[in-house]
Amino acid sequence: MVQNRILIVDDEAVTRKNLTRLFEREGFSVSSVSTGFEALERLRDSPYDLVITDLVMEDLDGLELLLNIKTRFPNIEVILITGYASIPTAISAVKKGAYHYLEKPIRPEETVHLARQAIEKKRLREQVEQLEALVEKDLNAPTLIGQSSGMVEVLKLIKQVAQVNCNVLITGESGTGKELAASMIHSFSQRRNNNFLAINCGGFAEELLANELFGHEKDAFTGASSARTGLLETASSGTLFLDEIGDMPSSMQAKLLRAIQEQEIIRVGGTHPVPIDVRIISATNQDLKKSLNSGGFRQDLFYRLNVVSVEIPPLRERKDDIPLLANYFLNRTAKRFHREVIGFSDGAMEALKNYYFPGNVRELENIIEHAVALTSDTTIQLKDLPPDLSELDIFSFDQSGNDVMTLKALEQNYIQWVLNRVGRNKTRAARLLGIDRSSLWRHLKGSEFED
Amino acid sequence: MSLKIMILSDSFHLRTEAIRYSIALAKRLDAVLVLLILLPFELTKKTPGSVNTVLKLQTRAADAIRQPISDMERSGVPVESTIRIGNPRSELLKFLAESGKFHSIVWGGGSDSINEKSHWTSNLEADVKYSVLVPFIKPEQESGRRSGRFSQQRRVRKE
Repeated sequence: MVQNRILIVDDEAVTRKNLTRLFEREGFSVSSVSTGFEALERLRDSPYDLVITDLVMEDLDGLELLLNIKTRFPNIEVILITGYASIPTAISAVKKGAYHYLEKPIRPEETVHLARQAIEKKRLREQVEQLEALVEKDLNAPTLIGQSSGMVEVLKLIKQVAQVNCNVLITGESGTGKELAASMIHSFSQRRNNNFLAINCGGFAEELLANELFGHEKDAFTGASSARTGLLETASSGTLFLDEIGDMPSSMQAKLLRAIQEQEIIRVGGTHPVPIDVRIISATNQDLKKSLNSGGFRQDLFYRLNVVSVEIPPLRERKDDIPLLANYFLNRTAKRFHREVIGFSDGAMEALKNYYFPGNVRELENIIEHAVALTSDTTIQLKDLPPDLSELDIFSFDQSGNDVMTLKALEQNYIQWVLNRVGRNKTRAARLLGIDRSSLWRHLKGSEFED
Repeated sequence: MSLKIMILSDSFHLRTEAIRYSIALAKRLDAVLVLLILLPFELTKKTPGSVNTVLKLQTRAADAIRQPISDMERSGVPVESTIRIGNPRSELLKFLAESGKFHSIVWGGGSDSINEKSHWTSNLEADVKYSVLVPFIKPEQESGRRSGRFSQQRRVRKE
């Protein structure tokens, strides 16, 4: 772990000694000097995260030192120590870029807390700069952003699975970045120099989806004046991303299964098989295992698509990523809108961290873009965020903790599966289930799903 | 394809905070709103005048939601509305089966009734794959303490 480095600047030896002892006890790496000029020399020679300086000093005072540091070492945070009489000066120093000021007499807990916050802000800014550099280096490179343990695992898995030529199923709520994850897998894979094509399986009627995936021959239907290749053929040697795979109609599931198994397709209206070599990455925000039980999704196709699964956690389960993501979107939007907006007030960041985010990263991005466009300040204030974030608490009953299905739920799923198999004919379903029709009716009544 | 956000209620009354939040969320996600009113009623052959009762309920509900719908439309968010009368849980599941996918469901009905374990939404998460969001005015913005299933922590309905 990187040790936090602090430089203390004070012309009083006792203050230097006390602060050094305090921060060393808390695990910081501490140096101290007695003048502003010495401080600038130290900063030139060694890297520091934070400078804590007295405001009133001879030769070079705290304010001049701050301005020098912000010009020559803009990434270093500065905290000023001041007596009561100098507070207005300290406040103006904060406006000129100091992180905060400490009023004498110094309170140890407050001092350490403030120092930690300042260093955390510096580290966050560095991470955002690194990310931006990464994105600018290759504008086409997709990047999922996150440093929480959940996302670190996801990113590790994406890099691992990219090297293996197998189909991948990505799950996660809407707005978590499933397509971005698929695109990352493609860009890290051996197939990266070939096509990455995407289609939303929920957005097309059955015939249209068949046409998009498999293409068609000339005169296959009215208006098909020429032959057209489908996505499975065009993505050959590359990757095809099938979004909302859970919404694919059953007849299409059978055709897709055949294409994956045989590695060939037959165009609509065609008779000759065309060989393909395509990696399929599919995504869903549904519980496909539940759809298997109810007969909504083919089991054999599920196992073909789900060779490796990647689950992207919702934003509310990785709140540690909110400051990083928020700052990333802030910098990007500020540049795009040519606005001088550099950060968030504590209140604004707290509101973001406390919000539920049903729309996940996409919703956060939208909130930040609006805030940057509307703010009249250099930092996003609470008033710049949508009012519901600060005025409402959002509670939810969701499926977390429901991994184990109850016996009753399992029984109901099985009954529904049997009913689907027999075209919802209750007499045949009851016979298959080995119960009489009135018992089946009682079960259905119990499930509150009355046909 | 637009995302859909459902505002769900089992009464004539729609909570203001639910309407406010649904509009804000729909704007952020570029979604359309679908207002679903489920009025509990058991229709039996023995119930005298039951058809008339259903019709009256239908009319009363339509009158009650006219203003909220107009508020939603004025805010620029497209809105559709449906009134169903019968067993609320069963009607909700049927409506979900017919209407395709929703991004989220926002509870717009009474906040006290949903706090009871015997309420029809109890254990709804086992049947419905969506998170059901319940917006409340923050405690610091309203006097009095909340109690019941949502008293301590967000997201988890108390056992």
